[in-house]
Amino acid sequence: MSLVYFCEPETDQRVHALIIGVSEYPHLEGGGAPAVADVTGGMRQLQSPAKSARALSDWFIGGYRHTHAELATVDLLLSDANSTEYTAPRTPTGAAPQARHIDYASRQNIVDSAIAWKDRARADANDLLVFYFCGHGLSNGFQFGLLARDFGKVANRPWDGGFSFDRFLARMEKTAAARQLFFVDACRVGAEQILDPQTQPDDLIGRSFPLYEGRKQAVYYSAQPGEASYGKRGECTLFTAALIQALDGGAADDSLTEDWKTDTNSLNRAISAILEFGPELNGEPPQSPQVLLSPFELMRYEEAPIVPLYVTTAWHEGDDPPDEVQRIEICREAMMSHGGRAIVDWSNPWAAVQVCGWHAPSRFGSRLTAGDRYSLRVTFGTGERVEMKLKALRPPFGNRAIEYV
Amino acid sequence: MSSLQLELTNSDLGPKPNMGFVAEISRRDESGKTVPGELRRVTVTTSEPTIISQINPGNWEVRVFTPQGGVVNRDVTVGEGSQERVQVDIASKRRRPVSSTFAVPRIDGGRKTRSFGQKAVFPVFVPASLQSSSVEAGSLGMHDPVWGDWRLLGEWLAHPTQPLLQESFRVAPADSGPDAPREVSAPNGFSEETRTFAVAKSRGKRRAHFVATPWKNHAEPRHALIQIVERQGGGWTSHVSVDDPLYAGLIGYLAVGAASTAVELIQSSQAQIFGDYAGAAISLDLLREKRSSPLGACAAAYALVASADRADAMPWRPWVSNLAEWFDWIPDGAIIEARCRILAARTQEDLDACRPFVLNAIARGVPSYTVGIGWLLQILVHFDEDKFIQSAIALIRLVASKLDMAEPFTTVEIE
Repeated sequence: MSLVYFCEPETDQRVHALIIGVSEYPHLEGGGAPAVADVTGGMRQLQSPAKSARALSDWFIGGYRHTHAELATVDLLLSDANSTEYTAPRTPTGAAPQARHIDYASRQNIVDSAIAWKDRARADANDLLVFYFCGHGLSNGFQFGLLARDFGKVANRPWDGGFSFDRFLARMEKTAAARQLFFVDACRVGAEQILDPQTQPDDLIGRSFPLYEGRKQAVYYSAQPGEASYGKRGECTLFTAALIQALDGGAADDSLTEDWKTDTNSLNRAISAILEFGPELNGEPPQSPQVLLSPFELMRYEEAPIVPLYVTTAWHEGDDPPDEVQRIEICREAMMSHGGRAIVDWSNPWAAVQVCGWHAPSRFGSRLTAGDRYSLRVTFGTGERVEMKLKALRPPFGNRAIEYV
Repeated sequence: MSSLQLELTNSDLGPKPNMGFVAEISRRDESGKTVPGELRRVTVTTSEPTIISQINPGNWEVRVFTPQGGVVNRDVTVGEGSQERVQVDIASKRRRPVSSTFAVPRIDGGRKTRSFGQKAVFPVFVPASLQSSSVEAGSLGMHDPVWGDWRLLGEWLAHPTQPLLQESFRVAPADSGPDAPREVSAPNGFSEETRTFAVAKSRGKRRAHFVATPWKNHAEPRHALIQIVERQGGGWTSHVSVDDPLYAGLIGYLAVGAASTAVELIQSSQAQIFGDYAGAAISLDLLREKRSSPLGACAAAYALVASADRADAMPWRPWVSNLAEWFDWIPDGAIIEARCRILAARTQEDLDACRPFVLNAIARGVPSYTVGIGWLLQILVHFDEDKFIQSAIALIRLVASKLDMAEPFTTVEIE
């Protein structure tokens, strides 16, 4: 079973998501089954993809909002050594969610789900198809192969357990869905010995009948060609964490319209900005996302979204903490000196700091209503207080609206 | 009325040429929303400040969009009748993978290679530590009517010690000091019709570049430049870029796939590129008179087609066809044309009718831009039951497997 959410909303725009997370690879190193070194190229079991896929599925089912569109289906395929079950955060009917068995993310199951998923899109509507894959990936030039659970099962034909994302994308251009959104959270490192120019992995959906005029596609890769993708052990990948944060209001914008909305461009900019604030590897962000996109709207909100606000500081991990900062308070609209009431109050803010690789800005993080204006007051050990002027909070991170140095 | 003086700085610009960026300025009301009618998109270059005049006093937000998809924001309060200066550092937090050990020529008003642009030469900058590297430049010679230069390049990749270039151009040694450029000159000058390639060799590695020279610009002719640079931690790489702030920016956005930002750049600068390119006739005139850059127009076409909303009118569509028809020495036009036709196909008959255009796209040879190879492979997917197309896919993938995907102009590397 891969369909974890299903309804048929009466709307011009239905959203259909296909979400795949492959952590467990039985035929790669550490997977239990014998691994063929020439085929596996040193690839091992992964920790983050299944967790990332579950988190994104949770977000779509629980968090997707659009004034004119509605989530219709979510297909979920997993390869997770820890569990073969998934419990959606809600059901379309409002009934209590039940845990259900999830099919393995084998190549054949991905083919079956992909064909069903693309066929759900109506040609005469403005439906949105969302494809997400998290797992191992290999590239060679413009070839980009993604590895399903059964990669390497047949040693001489490893790609029987994988598929070609570049060919899948070309096929999808001629299918019915007007808008198509793809997220690929996988390494894009070269592996000519495994994916050579003669290799032609499956394109998942084959030829389309009938053909449609070219569709709008937005493709988000977690890394540039040649780069690896990263995740913290036991947590979502960096890219998916940033993606969810961006989808969850971090990419919302109302600068040009009456309503708050997220489009493919603002999503890209938000993901990039969030990753820039993330962990570093050798002093720089470990990966840079790449996009190939047509601009189109993804979400439109009835009311201003709740978004992250970070108070940025010049202090970073490894330096001496600024002990003299005793308190940071944020208040809405009027400054405290003018009777405003603190809605966020970090007393003794450095007491709970733990050593980790993240930048200091996330220490002072809160989630507040976008578009509202906030002021900030810092109290130092000397008793001195500094108030910073009102600024409107605009995602991501309020455009660094409030800076403390 | 008031004005803004917008200056871009780049603390890690390194050896990159003068570049154009898309900037958006908008006046914000008290709630932080854009005041209707008070948003402008402008092109800003790293070479000189941009003055944005005739703006109302108030709180303005400046947003500069970087090719990597980032946005750099600055808030500024503009007083009545004043000119506020805003400096924006567009350096990425990400450190550059390469460093240059030579002095980057001073960028002065976007005319960095002015002295080269007027002559039939283009410069190759080689750092002192890599002076032993060799650079050859020339054309690929005979053009196969079916395979273009794909086979030639494929064979060279299989046997890289054999020469790739025909009609070699002269590469003069540096005439003053180790950081001075070597000059590449052609006996009869460079012509657009004879596409130039260069091969840099050092420490057992070879990199073959398409060199976009002469680079036409309706203001003045310019050339490409080649830079060989050392990588941090050892090794070396090489880049081809064009000395044209506007197109360098467009190409930069295109290289990282930010086609829609590239289109914003075009739209904000359309008068500079095509005149009112939305009026296709003006564009056609410009192209017919060859006052604008056909190679630059290809970059614009890649961006426009990639980000087009096919539900809307595409006034530039005939202009794309003319790119393929008029400049038959540039393979990119035929690839873009074939892709447009395939995207528009609604029936199998429509798709079958695209086949001659696909074959033509192959026969024109290796495209000037890396993105063109990706597009060509995407096109061929729709015909992959055809034996000839299958062999073409294998050959083009072989070339693609050696591509430096980070380079906007086609570059292959072998060790």
